[in-house]
Amino acid sequence: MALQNPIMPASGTFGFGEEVAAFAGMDLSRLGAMVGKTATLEPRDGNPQPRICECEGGMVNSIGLEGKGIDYILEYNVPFMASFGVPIIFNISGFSLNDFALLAQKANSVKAISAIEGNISCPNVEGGKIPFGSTAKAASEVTTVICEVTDLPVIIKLTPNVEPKSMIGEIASAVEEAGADAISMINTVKRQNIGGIPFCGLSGPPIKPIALELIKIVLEQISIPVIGMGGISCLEDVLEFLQLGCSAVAIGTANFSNPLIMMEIINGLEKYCQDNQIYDLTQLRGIVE
Amino acid sequence: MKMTEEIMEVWSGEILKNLQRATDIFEVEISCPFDTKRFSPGQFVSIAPLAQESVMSRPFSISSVHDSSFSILIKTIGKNTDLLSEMQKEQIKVWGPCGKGNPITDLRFDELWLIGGGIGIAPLVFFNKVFSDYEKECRSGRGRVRVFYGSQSEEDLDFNLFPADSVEYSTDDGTFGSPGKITELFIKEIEMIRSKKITVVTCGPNIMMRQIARICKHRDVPCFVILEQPMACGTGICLGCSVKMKSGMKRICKDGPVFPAEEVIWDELT
Ligand SMILES: Cc1cc2nc3c(=O)[nH]c(=O)nc-3n(C[C@H](O)[C@H](O)[C@H](O)COP(=O)(O)OP(=O)(O)OC[C@H]3O[C@@H](n4cnc5c(N)ncnc54)[C@H](O)[C@@H]3O)c2cc1C
Ligand SMILES: Cc1cc2nc3c(=O)[nH]c(=O)nc-3n(C[C@H](O)[C@H](O)[C@H](O)COP(=O)(O)O)c2cc1C
Ligand code: FES
Repeated sequence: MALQNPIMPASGTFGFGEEVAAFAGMDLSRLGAMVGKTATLEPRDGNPQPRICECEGGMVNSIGLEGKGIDYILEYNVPFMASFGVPIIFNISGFSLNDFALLAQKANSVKAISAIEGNISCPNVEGGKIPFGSTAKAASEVTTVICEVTDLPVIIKLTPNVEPKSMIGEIASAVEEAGADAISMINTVKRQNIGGIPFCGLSGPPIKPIALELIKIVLEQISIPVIGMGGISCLEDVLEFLQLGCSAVAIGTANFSNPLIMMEIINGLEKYCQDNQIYDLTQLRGIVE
Repeated sequence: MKMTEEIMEVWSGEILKNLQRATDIFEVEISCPFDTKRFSPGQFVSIAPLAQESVMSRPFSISSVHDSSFSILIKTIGKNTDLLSEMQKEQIKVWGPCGKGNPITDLRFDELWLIGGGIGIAPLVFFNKVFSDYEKECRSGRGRVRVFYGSQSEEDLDFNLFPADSVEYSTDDGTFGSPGKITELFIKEIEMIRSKKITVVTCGPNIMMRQIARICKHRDVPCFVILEQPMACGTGICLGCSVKMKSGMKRICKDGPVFPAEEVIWDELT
């Protein structure tokens, strides 16, 4: 899967593109890819209020995977996203291996979808309270079940909430070995009891150093591409992730304080390439094989 | 009356005027590059965070519109509202119109009651303007607008917002207007109503709106509430403001912020 540029939204900060497309000055056909909010098997209400709060120079959220469920999303949201002619990365999450298999199977049958992103940060109900993404074994199992049912490229989205940090390398290797085509990282960083929210995830500028540190560890251990994210809010941040070795990047929280940030970054990146006489875009173009 | 436009504009708005109107209350006039007729009462704008450490957009109700600008009424409660209150002639990033606007489609009421508590008065200023103009146009003798504006103390009230003959004030400490809570004034007034058809729009603390909604329900008075939740995007994307309502999950920013009171499950709000 080749992207026209390495810029895409992070899951959960873009909806399914409809509200974003309504902004004058936003041209979704210029994105490298589109990434929808996580789809779950069944419709979900998500968590009660409060759900978001600023903290540490970023924000925490505890949305709780609110959504209308995969069947609705495939019927109503995906066709809209498909109308812009850029690759659709379909983000899924389940509470059991079987959920992931069913979700991937459903997504696999939709032609407009270019890749599946497995969000393995949410708690694995079958195995207790621990997310699939926090052990190499569970991460590998999820990857295997998704890869078994789809011919689409599979991206596995890693959680930074692993102990010790070096474990992230083992998890990434296990995911690669299990057949993933790419890795995306990082999801939000665990926090507790912020602004009345018992369990939540931090995003935005304060997690950028964590993202860079973990991505560096992962890049040393695997050969599949990495889509980097975590606190990216300007062109300089994008270049930092690309120079580290990411093949593409995703913009999350920054979309909230500037709805046109992705357009501005794409323009900035084009200009940067011209100014620096980067004619061959291979270093900067997102390539997820 | 105008329905919500679909296109969302993002622009660099100039702070044209910034006037202190009461303790901690400022009226901020911001330039607008498109036809301000596109704003409907109840809608708001999102302002990009001004404080270095903020990442969530800041929502403010439209309180009045002018030829090529609009005004918001802000209460300084924290870092961004403090910064905004100090700005003059500066540029800020703004987007909108956000949310659905005026929900009142049935205009067959004798009186429209606008009940605002504290800074909750802000969107009601726009409701008052639109419906008072409408009443004048119709000259039917119906559709009179009455405003009930309550605050803790006289110094918190902005006396520039309404013509004196259309507003009744209350203060918790009794320093101005009817002494006590705005809800007490409302109860007193509604109990005097016999045959008139009233429609209510209210904005303020949840505890106040909840009480007003309960009384309206009891008396079969249509009631709309303007709700608030912390927002990150203000445009329906992040689901940060989403709450469970009787008919399912609703985003305050996109599906509201104005809702029929009977839709609201009050215990779901923060
Ligand atoms: C749809 C909508 C319309 C609004 N319209 C107006 C308006 O017309 N005028 C106006 O002044 N405000 C309005 N608000 C509220 C306004 O957005 C907040 O006051 C503002 O975002 C606070 O930012 P801050 O950085 O100054 O405060 P912060 O520094 O973020 O917060 C300071 C303190 O206040 C608390 N706080 C933050 N937001 C709120 C809130 N909304 N209510 C109560 N406590 C809060 C925080 O928890 C914190 O303790 C509206 C909110 C919504 C959702
Ligand atoms: C409000 C919000 C909702 C999110 N929802 C999801 C989600 O549904 N699925 C997912 O994989 N990641 C979700 N994320 C995580 C982001 O995709 C991203 O990994 C993370 O926020 C780090 O990037 P950022 O710092 O640029 O925001 C969400 C983040 C935020 C702030
Ligand atoms: S504030 Fe983001 S959905 Fe309402």
